[in-house]
Amino acid sequence: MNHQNHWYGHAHVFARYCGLRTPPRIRGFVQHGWNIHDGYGADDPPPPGVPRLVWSDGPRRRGIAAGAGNYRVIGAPFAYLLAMADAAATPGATGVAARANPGTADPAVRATPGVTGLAARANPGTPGPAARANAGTAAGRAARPGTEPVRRGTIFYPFHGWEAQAIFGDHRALAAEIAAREEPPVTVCLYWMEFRHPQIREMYESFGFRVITHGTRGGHYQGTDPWFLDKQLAELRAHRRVGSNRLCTALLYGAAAGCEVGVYGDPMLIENENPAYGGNARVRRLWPEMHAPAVDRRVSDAVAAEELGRRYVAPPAEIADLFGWTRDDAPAGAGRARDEALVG
Amino acid sequence: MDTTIEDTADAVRLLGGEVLAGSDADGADRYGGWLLALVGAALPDRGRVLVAGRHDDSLLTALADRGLAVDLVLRNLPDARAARTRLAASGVRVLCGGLDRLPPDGSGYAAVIALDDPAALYGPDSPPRRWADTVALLAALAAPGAPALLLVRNGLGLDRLTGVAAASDTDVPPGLAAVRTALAAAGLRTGSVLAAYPGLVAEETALAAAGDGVASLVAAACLPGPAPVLTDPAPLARDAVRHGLGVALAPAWVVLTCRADDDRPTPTAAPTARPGIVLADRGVPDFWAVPQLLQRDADGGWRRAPLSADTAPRALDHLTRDPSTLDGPVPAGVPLRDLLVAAAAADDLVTARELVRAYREWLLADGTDGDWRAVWAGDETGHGPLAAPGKAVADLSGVLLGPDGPALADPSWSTTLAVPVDLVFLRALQRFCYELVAGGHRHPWPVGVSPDRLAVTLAATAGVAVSARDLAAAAAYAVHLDEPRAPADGGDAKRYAELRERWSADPGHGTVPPTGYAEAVRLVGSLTAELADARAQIRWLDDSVAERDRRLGELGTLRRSVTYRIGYLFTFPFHIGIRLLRREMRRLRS
Repeated sequence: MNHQNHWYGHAHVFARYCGLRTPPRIRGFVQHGWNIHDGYGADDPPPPGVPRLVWSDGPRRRGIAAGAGNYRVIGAPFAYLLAMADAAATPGATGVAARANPGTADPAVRATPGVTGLAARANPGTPGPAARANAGTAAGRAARPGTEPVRRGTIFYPFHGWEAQAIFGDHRALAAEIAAREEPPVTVCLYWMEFRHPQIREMYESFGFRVITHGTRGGHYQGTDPWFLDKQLAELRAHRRVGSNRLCTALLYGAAAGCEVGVYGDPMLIENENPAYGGNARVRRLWPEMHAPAVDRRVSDAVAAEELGRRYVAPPAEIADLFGWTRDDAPAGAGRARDEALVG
Repeated sequence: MDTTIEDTADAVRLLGGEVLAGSDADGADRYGGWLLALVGAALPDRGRVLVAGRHDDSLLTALADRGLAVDLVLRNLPDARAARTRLAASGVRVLCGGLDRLPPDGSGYAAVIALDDPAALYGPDSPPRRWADTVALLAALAAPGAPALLLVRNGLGLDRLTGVAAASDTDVPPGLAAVRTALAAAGLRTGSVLAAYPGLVAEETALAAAGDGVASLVAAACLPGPAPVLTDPAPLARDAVRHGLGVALAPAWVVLTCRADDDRPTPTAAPTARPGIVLADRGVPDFWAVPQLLQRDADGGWRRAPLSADTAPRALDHLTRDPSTLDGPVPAGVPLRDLLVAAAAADDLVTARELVRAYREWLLADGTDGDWRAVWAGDETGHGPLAAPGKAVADLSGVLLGPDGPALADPSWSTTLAVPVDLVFLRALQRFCYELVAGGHRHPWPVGVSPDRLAVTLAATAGVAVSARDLAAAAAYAVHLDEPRAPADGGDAKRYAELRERWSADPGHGTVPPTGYAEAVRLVGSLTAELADARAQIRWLDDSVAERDRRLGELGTLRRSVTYRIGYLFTFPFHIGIRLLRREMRRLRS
């Protein structure tokens, strides 16, 4: 329904969760990042009548209060990735995906064989920054199912702008604060645009940090890294702590992946921010407990579980049904064989 | 007692004021012998009893079986003749005519029972009478101190609150206190008052502190029929009981009274100290029905027991029912159907998913693997987990979710069929989805979705993928399952199976219009919102297509640009080369 569904390989995660190689078109608009509004950009709402598939109940409540409808809370794609990883890590399968799909082969097992190998196969044309960034990391080790990775050091996500909005802030001062607070090794993960700037990269590297990016977000179905989230999960699981200068999506992913959370440093400014969001000050008011150099694990676990909608994770058959990924939506009509579902 | 069978009209004694043609039989359920479980203790063991108006035959035969002489008064002659024929063996004396023409029976009747609409006790030959006059008439017919069992319509009962045609009834006293006063004025002393719902009669104290389980029973007794109503009475009935208004809002009361001109004790219902509810077990033919008495336990729970001493299992075709399993504690819990309806109304899909999964896991829990043959459709065979015989019969209304997980509300039913778990599961979902859609309940799925399509979605929440063939098989299974106990018209399962043909051919037929006006208004609201959304979406798609057309048009002008021409000029020799190469390749291939 919308090309944003493919950003960060979200649609691909869902496809693998449902046992599909490539994602068919999703009937609906999947929330593409942690959101303090109604699940979507204030300047870019979903078209009317399109199902709003959001991560958690907060965006749904805000949307309903503003008069929007057609919401379905399904949980974040990252939560599905975690469900698959959990299922793969537990032979005998008590995980969500495995339990939900007793009849068919476990999609998680089918879908996640050795992350790096498949990434290269799935994305042969674009080695780009992603492949470079991944070379020689702990990612491969951490991604192996069933093995609890050795967690070391901190991964830090400086607040990033995007293709249409720039960021104003002092990266050097932030880097100095990270160096002062964190025990090495420190990995700094940049948005792909910033990663392409040698100056920014080299500045962070000058502090002895390893500088990476998880891949490209993509746009209009081009340049999406289908393994973006897998790489991110692998990196997160290789670190003990995750940090950022703002409460953000990556931080919640880190908390869900078992990292200790730290939020500190200059939160920086984003260009032309829509007042509907209420600014970073609102985020601080809503989640004061998450703004500390070391957040209590119980607090961060609970916030991440809620904001990523982990309790809303649906079984593959339900996702396929909701997304319109079954062979035909309507029950059989005259003369049409619809017995075989595409999924399930 | 007259035991000769005389199948002649002459055997009906005519009182005057008879209605000579037509019939008052309207197919409605009448009070039957099951009512005696609560009121029997108040009735005498010998003497002549007057039964005025339409009652179920089972009440009359039960009275006769107690050794009582029974006089039945009906105003309609064809009805009276038919009753005479049906009841001849039990010795019931049938009289026909207006109640006002009934001569006093010596010293008066030993008991009077009038559980019909007072208006149906007189024909057009009698002048219209007020309720109080009818009561006085009935009181006068009873012997001094004799009990009189009267049905009093509640002027503000649930049927009045939800009925479209219900007008204010100024004839009946306003409220129970006024009823007592009016009865006293007619010379009657009021004893127990029972709340009378269709097929369910409860003592006042039984409904006073009833839990969700009893509320669900009362709600099930109030399911709407095919006639239009203002709103579905069932949820209102449930809330009435939960708010302690189960007696105040009952459609009618059965009042136990006696002639006040005697100092004998006032008749009361309770045979024991434990308050009771009697269930007629409607909805199935008499062969299957097992009327039951529910009584509160010492520890606050409920126990039930079949009323009839004959608890031998009944069997017909593949279906069996063992009434003896109904003797014991009533399982605590709320029907899965009600919980799922509530979850859907609250947009709570997480709970809905948990309920559907819990149901499926419960079906699988004691299912054994085995072979099955689809005698319900196509005689296909297969192997897989089979549902336990009791669980295969129950739908979601018949499964209670209590503190110890799901349990069968009525474990007496079972089938000898070997049925795969998935088919039982799907049939229950189909049934539930039909009730959800036809009942006009609020739900988070698209408006106008057909019950079959909704069943697919619900099955998916438990991770079960359903094919069109599965849906057809489940509908066929439902028909086959219900065949032995279905009413003459085939019952709901058959209607569903016929409807789904239409939905399959055209999903637009999915919306079953609800009979409740409130539900219909809500549905119109949802449809309007969905239509507005759809229109806005069409406009948006139209704009998107226009924008893409414009961009495509821009691509067309590319060939006319100077840059394109310069580029083409430079690459011209290359183009020629490729073209020649292609021609050569084609020649070689052919």
